[in-house]
Amino acid sequence: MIRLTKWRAIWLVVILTIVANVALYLFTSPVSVSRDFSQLKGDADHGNYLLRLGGCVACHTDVAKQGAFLAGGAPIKTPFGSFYAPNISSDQTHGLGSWTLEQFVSAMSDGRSPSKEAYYPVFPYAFYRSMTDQDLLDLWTALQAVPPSQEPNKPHEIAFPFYIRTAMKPWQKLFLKTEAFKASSDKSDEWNRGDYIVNGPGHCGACHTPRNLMGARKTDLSLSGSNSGPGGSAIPSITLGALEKQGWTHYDLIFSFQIGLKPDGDVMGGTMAEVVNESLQHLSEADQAAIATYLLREN
Amino acid sequence: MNKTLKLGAALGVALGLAAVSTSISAHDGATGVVKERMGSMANLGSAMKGIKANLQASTKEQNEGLLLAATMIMEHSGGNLNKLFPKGSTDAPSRALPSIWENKAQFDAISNRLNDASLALALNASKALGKDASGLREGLIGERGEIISSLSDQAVPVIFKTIAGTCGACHQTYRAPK
Repeated sequence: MIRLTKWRAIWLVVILTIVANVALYLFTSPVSVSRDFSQLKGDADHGNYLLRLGGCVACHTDVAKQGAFLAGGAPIKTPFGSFYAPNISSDQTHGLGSWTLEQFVSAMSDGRSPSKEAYYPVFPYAFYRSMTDQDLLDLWTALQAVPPSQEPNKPHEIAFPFYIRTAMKPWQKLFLKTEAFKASSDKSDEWNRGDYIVNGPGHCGACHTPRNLMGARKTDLSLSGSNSGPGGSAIPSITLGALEKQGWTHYDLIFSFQIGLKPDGDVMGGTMAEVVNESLQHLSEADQAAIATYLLREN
Repeated sequence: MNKTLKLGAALGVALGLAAVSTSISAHDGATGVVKERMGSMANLGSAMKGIKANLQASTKEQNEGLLLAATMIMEHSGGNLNKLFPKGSTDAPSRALPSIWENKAQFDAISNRLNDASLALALNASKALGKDASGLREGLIGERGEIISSLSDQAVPVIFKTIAGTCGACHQTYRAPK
């Protein structure tokens, strides 16, 4: 039997204190983005536009199976398993009908469900976190008007240990670093709008940025492509260097957002076809141009 | 040779060269029917670039370019394309998915819609050029004929979007990602 000497006891206390502090740190929720909706009024029309811009329709509607609008999407296949975007219609039981604005903002901005569970990062809340208060309120206003669908939510199909939802709390503590969007004063309004869309609600980096073994984006390699996109597909780099190398112009980018045609004459397939069909082609020309301006670093 | 014909010929040569160039780079290791259909796809890609380059359709030369590209798509879609997908022809470097043969009728229908949309573009360009399109209109009867005629009256970008939409529908469902 090991004797508990004075020094051993001190070491034990030190180690337990460290472990307890690390655990306390990791399981404490990240700081929320400060928001104030008291003086704002929601705009459902703009919210409907944001449903497209934010990719909500693309992920939360099973278009291929002609599923009801925002009643739950097709599986998103990742290296960790298949995830199903839930029903976000206004249904009281299966959708967001019983949610409050605060709960919606907490989900979008902090990745926390109404029952305080941490969402998996396949839901791009890390990008939505940088959305403006007005945009979040507009989106919420639009969602409340979406016809209710009683389509039940499908459970994610993920293997051990990834289905242990509690592990997502320390994940958030380690990797949820996004802050509210700040415009660059030395850039044009169009450039800043593009920055906001690409790195915010448009969440281009969710697929176009490589991820580490824990599924977090390698932010120092932002938009440089990934070998583990949805369905195991290779997602191309859309950095300035990569786009220039492939001969993309401002016009080509806008054209691809509208038609899905690449400069080499190929038409986009896979998940990007879905993004074009359900999101990009619905954007205003001004927003399409802003994205192109930002990606090509045209100021 | 007048200026229009010269430009049309030049565009044709450019499209052809582009097709050959694309074809060579994309066909490494392909054989048989896989090689043949990849060549068809390369031609379709070149035609799409041709349409994009002439999208304004404000000049005679641009409409000549559109007609040429539309004709090329007609030649490489519909029945001519469908027959290049015999069951199980998935040898590398083909990216064709087995799901094609799980629902070949739907696959063929998309390819036929591409053929119809390119015919609509050919009719649009012919009309703009004042050309006799009676040959193109042969067999245009019933609901299908009405749909094609109606689409041909739309602006070129609208027709092009329909064409690209059929390409995207097929690529989204039946082509493996890279």
